[in-house]
Amino acid sequence: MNNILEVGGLTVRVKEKRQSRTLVENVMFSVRPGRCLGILGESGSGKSMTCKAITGLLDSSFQVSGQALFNGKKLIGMDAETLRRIRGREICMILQNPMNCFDPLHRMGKQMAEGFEAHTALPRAEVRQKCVATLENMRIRNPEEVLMKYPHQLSGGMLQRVMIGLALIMEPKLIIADEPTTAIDSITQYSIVEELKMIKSRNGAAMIFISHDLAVISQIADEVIVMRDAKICQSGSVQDVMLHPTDEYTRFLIQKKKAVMQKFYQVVSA
Amino acid sequence: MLRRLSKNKMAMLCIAFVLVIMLGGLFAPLLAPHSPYENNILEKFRAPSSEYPLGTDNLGRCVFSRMIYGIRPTLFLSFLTMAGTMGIGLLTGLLAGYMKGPVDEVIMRIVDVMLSFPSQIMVLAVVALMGVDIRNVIIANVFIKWAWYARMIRTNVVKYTDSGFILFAKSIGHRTQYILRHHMLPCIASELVVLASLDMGWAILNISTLSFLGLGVQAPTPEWGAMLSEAKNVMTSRPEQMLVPGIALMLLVAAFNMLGDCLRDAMDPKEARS
Amino acid sequence: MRLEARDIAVSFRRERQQKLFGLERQTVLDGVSLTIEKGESLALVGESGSGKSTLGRVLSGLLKPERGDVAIDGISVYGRRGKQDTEFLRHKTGIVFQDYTSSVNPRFRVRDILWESLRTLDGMTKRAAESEICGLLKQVGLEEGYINRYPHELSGGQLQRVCIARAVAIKPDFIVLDEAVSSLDASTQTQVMDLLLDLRNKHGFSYLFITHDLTAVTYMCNRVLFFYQGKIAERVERIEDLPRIRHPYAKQLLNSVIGLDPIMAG
Repeated sequence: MNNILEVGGLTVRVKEKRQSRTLVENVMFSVRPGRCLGILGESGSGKSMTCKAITGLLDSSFQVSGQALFNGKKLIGMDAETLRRIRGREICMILQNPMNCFDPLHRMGKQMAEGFEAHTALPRAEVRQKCVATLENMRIRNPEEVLMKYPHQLSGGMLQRVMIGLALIMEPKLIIADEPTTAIDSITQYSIVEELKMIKSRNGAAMIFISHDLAVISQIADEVIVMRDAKICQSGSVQDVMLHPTDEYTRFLIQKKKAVMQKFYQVVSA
Repeated sequence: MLRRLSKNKMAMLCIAFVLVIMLGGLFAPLLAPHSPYENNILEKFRAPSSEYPLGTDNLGRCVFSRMIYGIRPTLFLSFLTMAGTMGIGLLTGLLAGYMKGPVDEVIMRIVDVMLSFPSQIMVLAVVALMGVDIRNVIIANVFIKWAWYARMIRTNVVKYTDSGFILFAKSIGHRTQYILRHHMLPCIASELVVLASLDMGWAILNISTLSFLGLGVQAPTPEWGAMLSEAKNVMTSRPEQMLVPGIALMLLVAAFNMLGDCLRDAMDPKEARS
Repeated sequence: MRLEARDIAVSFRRERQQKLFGLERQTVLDGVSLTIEKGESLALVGESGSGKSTLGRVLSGLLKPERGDVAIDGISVYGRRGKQDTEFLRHKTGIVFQDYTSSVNPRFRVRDILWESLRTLDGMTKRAAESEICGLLKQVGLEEGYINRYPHELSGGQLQRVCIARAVAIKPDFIVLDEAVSSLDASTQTQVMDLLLDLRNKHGFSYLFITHDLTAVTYMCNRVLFFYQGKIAERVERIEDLPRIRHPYAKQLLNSVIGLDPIMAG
């Protein structure tokens, strides 16, 4: 299987008050269709920056170097318009705080339709049908009602589902999920992770899943890279990294999570 | 904070300018070559010379001396006005925003009433009613403007009232005065500073406008607005008479406005590392 | 030290009313009663909007309930009381919030944040406070050098430790932790929880640990209350009884815990 995304030597620097700071240093990884790459790291490790750099979401105050090949096309250095078309049709992003990602002044239906209008020329009736179908696929009951609501009337979990639905509308080849379960309650977190697992197997899309939570990554990712202070400390299959970590920081992360989970299993299996 | 301020060239320029003007007003008797009241009809409308650095006006008085002496009423009265307006605005805004409930409702309704009057006309009306006296000018300005600041300050106070740090201070038993003094005031300080400097500009213009209309400082007391008023009489024949007080007023108000912006940036602790 | 809450009810006037001057109210807490003894860690679990944060505020003395009362060692927190009782109650509870960035004054240095708590103690002088502050920082695992830093110069974990230090500073009996670790990274969460356990062992605090994460509950607490729509849905008096819960919401939460494969499958 060919890699759908190949990243090599990716470096991101930002100029801050006469000093240059490195946010991502020499990052290298690849993703295959139907597989999920997990990026594990804590705040400030550079995990989100990496994906923002690849999709061209950083403004001119950032310097991005290295290469990112998406289906053979070079993403870094691509002109803005071509990149915009790829972003939205072939690469879709699911972001962290769903409440902030929607315009509070417009109804959900209108915002969902905007995605279609930006990338296709379908008539309005068909667009609406597709929106309803998307919501149904995300197991949202009463999709017509939800389309009529404003973002603040829906819970965080519901909004995140809509966001995932939106990301899937264009049937992208690569889905990048940036901490999608962080700002949500436990029950919805669980169902969203299950949802994403199904999407992976059903759609055959490639996925990148960014998180600081080892448990979530262990559930959904096939390969994982661990980032700390802008660099990769460890990479490999989830099995390898979790069971035989060679890097000290990775061992530390695993140890901390294990301590909490061990206690939990101890109580629950009694 | 002062260090950060000193790095900002525009701020330093404005501060220097304002300081120079203030000192000029303070040491007017030492700096002015002539008495501002001394008139000599024979010398009227003289061009600038070594004896009269900015020339003379319609009564032969030295323009430069009048400008220097004129700093006193212009700046000092404006400062008094600004202090009064900000003082009352701050007190009422703080109380309304922090206490909420009925206190907030009552104060804000009074503010609504005050704001529904057209400000400029009210000032004129109050001065006309109470008589033309510089004290009444200040009272009129304060009376009209406090409501505007009360509302702006209240908005800022409300923003912080439910913050975690104020809740925590309450939870460990600190009194309202402590919370207002140690938390609320420093938080709204930067907004206050911008408002205060903007208000200085506004007050200067207002006092000058009233003097221009003959309702403020009375002749023969030198004041920049009053000088503009006298200059307008000879606008067509001697337009240069308007130049000096006009440009001076403009520069002073601009300096205060810019100063407000720079002070606000300097007071933000996030800018501390540079 | 015994904290007792009896029949607490809190409601807010609804933002959207049917009539012009309507008096409709939204019930947030509907007759909640509980007790906390010395040294206990009680978990309060529920989803957002269930009222658990509001209960935390009521129990720490910040919000007066419409009905019911809170009593510490028999002395009513919200009822009428004498000066002696007020003195007695003054430093009984501390609170740590979820959002550490907005719970400290951005203009205060770490030293000022801790001094604010210390100055409420009887007989504390500025000089004595200096050494107290260093001691507090050490207790929460921060170096002395942090004393002059501003909040925006600290990481999330460090800032939350400062918030814990200022709650501990007043030597309370009882600390409300309102989703105090929820906004932190996974490994930092564990470290802060270890710190809280350590402090509990050293000082004998009682904790009210408000959360929606059951793994944090099993790590930190020995009793659990499940909250659902303003009422207590289920009480678990011993943490070992957790697998035997019956309320459907509580069971759903239990089943939603995301496991750590492949290290601990099942």
